[in-house]
Amino acid sequence: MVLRDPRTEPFDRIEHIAVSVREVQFRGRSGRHTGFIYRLDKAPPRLVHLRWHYNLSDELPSVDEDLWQELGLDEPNRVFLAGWVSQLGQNQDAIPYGFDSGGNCFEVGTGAYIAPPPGKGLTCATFVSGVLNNLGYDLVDEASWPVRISDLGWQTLIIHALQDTGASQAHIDAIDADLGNIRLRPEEVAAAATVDGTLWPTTFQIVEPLSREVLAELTAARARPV
Amino acid sequence: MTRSDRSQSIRPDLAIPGSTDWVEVKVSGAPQAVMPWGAPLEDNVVVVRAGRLYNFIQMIPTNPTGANTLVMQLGGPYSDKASSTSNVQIITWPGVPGSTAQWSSQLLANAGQPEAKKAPVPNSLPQLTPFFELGLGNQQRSSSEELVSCIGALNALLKRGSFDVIDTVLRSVPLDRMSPELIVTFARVTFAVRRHLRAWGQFVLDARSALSQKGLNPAVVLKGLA
Repeated sequence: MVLRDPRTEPFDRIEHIAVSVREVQFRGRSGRHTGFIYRLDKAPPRLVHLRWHYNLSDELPSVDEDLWQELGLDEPNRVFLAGWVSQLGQNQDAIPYGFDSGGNCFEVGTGAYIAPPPGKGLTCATFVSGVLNNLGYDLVDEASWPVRISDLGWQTLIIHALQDTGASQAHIDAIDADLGNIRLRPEEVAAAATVDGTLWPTTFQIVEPLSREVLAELTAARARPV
Repeated sequence: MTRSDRSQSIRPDLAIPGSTDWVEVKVSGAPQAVMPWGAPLEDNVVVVRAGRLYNFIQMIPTNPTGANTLVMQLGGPYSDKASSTSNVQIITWPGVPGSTAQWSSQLLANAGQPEAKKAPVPNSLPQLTPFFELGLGNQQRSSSEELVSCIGALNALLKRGSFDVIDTVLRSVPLDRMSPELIVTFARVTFAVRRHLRAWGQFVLDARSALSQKGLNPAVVLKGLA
């Protein structure tokens, strides 16, 4: 089992920080979405995730949608990370959507997002991996990730969606240059984050089968009676 | 002299203003379940909480960046308790010639007061505006709230580019008395600016040693910070 279903394992069992993953519908296609669920001391758990272009949310997680699993880090690091991640809500309208982060992207002291050049930005998945990378946790070995034709289709869909939702022309023009980049899929980042941290950065060969388990568990959770 | 040597070599005499000697300040009276220094400055007023026994106070005089640092460690019956009460506090404030000695005198002038007391700042003392006030956790555990406070305090220094002060803090923090998550916080928040910090390498070495002494594997806890 990679994921936990909050209907049977409530979010308040999260010890400091977890990764979340849910199914979403996007432009008539089914997809996945990921983020962090953090818990400060005895406070209610919160989900911080990059929804879309300049749209980050810090809110209560959804029992009906968000499956979760704790990060594969030791407790001192999870406590620290939960505290650090709790600052990210300030970036509500600061993070553009893009296929290439353009490097370290958060001020390490504040968690404030550093505006990148046009076209650069994060996805929901690279938001998770970018936060971790920023703090010295190298989550995945990107060099081991393949370029997949199906990801090119997804990237094209995203560019159209950005155009339709009012992204600037400069952003659209620049993001074209990143078409064909490797893509870290949400289920892959979620799966990687659950791997024992001593094995980070995790390779595609380790993550890919786990990500298929994530997909299967999302399907099973959807079919499970509430 | 090692960190633990220093923290144990408490001198019975009083402070030498402006020096970096360890000194002991005894404060009698009923224990207060509050930070040793409450709101430290309110409209030019210093609030000193009585009822604590400080193991040491280190005064670090004005350094080239124009900042003073005061490191205080609460000792006595509280130092061994596993509670959320913080036992170390670091206060740094912009340096003005003479302010260190006056601050020290002010501190000592309040020692022995049985109750929490507001003491007016002498006219000759410039208005102190500390930008860095840290409550460091006890050696067992730190709460997320404490860590967030620590991140914020470090950020205040990062924003000012006060690398000399951060160096001073990294050299001064009593790692053997800090919780693992607090050590992680210092290490990971300063990681991104390590090239600007002369003390960072030694801090990490000392942190590794301290984590080992706490029964943790430093290679795991500080993974990615090589």
